[in-house]
Amino acid sequence: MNADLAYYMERILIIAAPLTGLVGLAVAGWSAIRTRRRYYEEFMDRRRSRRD
Amino acid sequence: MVSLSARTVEWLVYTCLLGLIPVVARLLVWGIASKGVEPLAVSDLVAFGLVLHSANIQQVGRLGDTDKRWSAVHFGISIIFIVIYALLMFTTILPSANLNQASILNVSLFLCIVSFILSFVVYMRMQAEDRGSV
Repeated sequence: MNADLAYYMERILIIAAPLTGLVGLAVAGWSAIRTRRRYYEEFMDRRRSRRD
Repeated sequence: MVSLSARTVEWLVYTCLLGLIPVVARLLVWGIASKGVEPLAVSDLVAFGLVLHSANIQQVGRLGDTDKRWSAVHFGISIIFIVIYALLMFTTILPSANLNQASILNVSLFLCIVSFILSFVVYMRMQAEDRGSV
């Protein structure tokens, strides 16, 4: 029983964990771009309003 | 060059260093002991990952309604990572020796690196929120 459980858990982990890691990397990239874009737009809006 | 705010420095010291205590302790013991101690263990890496993601959840919760989509994505990914870390922890508890320990260790290491990057991104966002601009 324990051996079966360990075997299936190992199979699941070896497939699921790297996939989760890749998804995590994608989320980190998306998040960094979103943060940059969002605050850059706010910064430009403020600069434009100061000029006006 | 990236300038780090007080919040990011606090994250590095209080969250990352605190989470790395088991890893550092093991490395120290491995350096001192002549044999019988491995330099890296899955349970230490899992502890580090859990600390990072619990801090992430707390920080994402602080953002409130400012950017709900971003908060939801980070909250979700943190929950998924915690579930995977819990499964990794089970493999250290199971008394079976049939597991491929090297693969599980490599996978844990990869997940820890990704967790660190995710946590860094969350804290950079918080730093941007504090400043209100780039």
